[in-house]
Amino acid sequence: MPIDIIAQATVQGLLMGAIYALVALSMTLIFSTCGLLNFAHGDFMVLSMFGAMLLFELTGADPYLSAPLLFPALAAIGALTFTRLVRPVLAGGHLAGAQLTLGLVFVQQNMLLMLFGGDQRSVPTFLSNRHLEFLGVILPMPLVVGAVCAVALSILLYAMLMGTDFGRQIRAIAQNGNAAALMGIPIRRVQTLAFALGIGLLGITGALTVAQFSVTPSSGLDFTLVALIVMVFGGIGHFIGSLVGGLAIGVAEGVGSLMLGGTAGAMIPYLILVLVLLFRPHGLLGER
Amino acid sequence: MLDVHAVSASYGNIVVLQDVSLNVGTGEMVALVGVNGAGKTTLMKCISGLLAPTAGHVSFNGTELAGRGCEAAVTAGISLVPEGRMVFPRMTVLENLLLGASNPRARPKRDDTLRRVFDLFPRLQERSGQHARTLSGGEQQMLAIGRGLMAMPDLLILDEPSLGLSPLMVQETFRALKRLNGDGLTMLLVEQNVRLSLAVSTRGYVIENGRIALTGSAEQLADDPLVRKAYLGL
Amino acid sequence: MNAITTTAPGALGADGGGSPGILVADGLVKQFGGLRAVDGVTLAVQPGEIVGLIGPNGAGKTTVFQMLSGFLSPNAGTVRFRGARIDGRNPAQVCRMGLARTFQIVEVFPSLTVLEVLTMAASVRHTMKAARAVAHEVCTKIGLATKGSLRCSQLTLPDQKALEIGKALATGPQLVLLDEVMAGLRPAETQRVVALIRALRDEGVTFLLVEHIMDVIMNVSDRIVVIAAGKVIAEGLPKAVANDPHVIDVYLGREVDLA
Repeated sequence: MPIDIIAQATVQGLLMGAIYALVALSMTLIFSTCGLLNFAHGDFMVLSMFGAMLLFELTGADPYLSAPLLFPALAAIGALTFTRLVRPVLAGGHLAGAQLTLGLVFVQQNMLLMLFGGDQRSVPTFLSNRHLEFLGVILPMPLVVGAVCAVALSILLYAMLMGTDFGRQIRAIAQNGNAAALMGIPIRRVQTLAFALGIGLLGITGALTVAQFSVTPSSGLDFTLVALIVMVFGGIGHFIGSLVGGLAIGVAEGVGSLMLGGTAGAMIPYLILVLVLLFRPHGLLGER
Repeated sequence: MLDVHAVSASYGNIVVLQDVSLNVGTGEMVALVGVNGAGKTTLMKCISGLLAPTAGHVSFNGTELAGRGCEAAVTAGISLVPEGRMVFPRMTVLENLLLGASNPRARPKRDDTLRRVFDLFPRLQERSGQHARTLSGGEQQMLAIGRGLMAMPDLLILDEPSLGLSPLMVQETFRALKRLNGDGLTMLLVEQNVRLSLAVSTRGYVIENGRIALTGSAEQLADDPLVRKAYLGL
Repeated sequence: MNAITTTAPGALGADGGGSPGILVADGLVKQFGGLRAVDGVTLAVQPGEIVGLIGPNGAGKTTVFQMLSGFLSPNAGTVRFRGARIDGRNPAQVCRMGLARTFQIVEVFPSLTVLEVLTMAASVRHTMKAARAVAHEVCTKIGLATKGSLRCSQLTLPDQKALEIGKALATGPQLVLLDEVMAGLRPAETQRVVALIRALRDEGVTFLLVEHIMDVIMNVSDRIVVIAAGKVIAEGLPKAVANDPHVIDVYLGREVDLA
């Protein structure tokens, strides 16, 4: 196989991986702060894509312009979801919480199906038909922009977690909830804000990548599964692990599809996940 | 200052505390001793807001705290250094300390308090950039106490501070506690080491099977054969 | 290895003189990472005895208990039950040999009835038909004759504790290991469990208890073994042990110079 095609698949995979990483990071944020495995994670991203589509169809607004709007919108939806649905149900245990989110997946999918039908749609941006050529590798601009923004947001999220009081409180709750409560940290408020932030990030991600992915009501679970793989791959709750995991899964998927064809290549991430779980059950960078 | 009145608590159908009353006055160092499973830690959970008692009152400087959660207790001025230290393992010493000052009363004066904690435990300053899990048991205990102090409490509660520490670290830890009390900090000390805790305290309570079995001055309790009976059954 | 007396003076089973005991642990060692939780524990239980195993928090008594019941394998040392090695065997084998244990957490089968639980335990040794008969017999013995068809979750805590002992009993044991069976009981309720243990001992069952509630264990045991820092530091009659200065030091702690 010619080297430049492999290089093309690798770079494209890396860019895709950066987006996966951000989705996985926001999932990790919610999992470690709120104790919720959110199976509706990808669906919130899909919701944001539909939001961007709707805004485009109604006002002609470019999805890149909608992104700053969709962040607060999705964050608000996230906060409501957490306080009204997730928190009461989580009192019944982690499993009840996970089941709730699976329920949300089907409610949303069917509502979107009723409103918009099941056809694949695409939303153009002003960059849609442009490409970036770099050392012989040709990359679609929307993917480049999506990936660059995802990396930037990941860095911002990391800086927030490491360098602010709010970030420290989030990490404290993730490491020892009781001890965090004993510090007088307002646990509920921090959880609500973390949940809102996680979903809000999906709002931006959805808008930024809507031109790259085709929009269908049912694609949420695909994103959720990839995020789950990345999260487990990197070590649950491990920030850098999710980042590395996202990139690795992106490349594996890209190169795998190239070598084995689309269907077989799509199996590669799952295969890697099984191998990691067999040989490093706590993930690539996880502890113990 | 702290007035615990007729508190009962249970986990499911197991009653752990029954009609427990206890008080701590300003400036005092009070010891609460009792064997494992007597209900000491449960009582601490009720006072610090981690557990809602099934009956009774916990009032602090006149504010009712029973069942109102940790945030209310910390804001009112109670800081618990929990059993097992419970430091945040994958955070630095400094971050652990900063988190101690999360309540709105302590937050604005965080830098001053931090300086005082570093004065008390210079070793924490030396290790301020290290992850808490890399500290020795004794250093983790210092960190837990330091973190408790960062909340600027009026009452510092210590649950089993000597547990798992070497004799030398126990000595160092208790010297620090004595110094803090000497500077006017009110303390409630829950300890397995009865003799040590009575040696540093002014008054004590003995808890047995979820009830206060005995109370008195530290000297009285130190010589009371009933204390031995509470521990050894005979 | 100094010979720690396998037969304490005054122990009920100390008749045979050279009798090695129904349960004999010799030089048990258990290491968890860098921590030597149990460091050469040797002890023996004579037939018909009630032995109490005590020690302060973290002394290693639970680890010893786990090794005696086959739930943990020692790194060194042996456990013999009626002369046969049981260390390294799995709990089910140990149970079939006649050594049963209870668990601290009761109510493991909340939706089964008392008789169902007892029948299940008895079926370790018997056919289903015989097991049902044994279950009825045990049910009466533990004072739950009228409650056989209640679900476990409907029982009061003292009844659940009795059932926990009954479960062990239904397997037809010679020796029962009791793990914190008094935990959570009120003083009056512990008396009922104490009476049950004594009555069963009179029928020939030997008991080894780990217990936190000191007045109860001192009261029910014929002999006490004290473990601290992974070693046996004292053993003998309850009264003698309670007055042993070394034991008192371990329980009440030592003063430290704070000047």
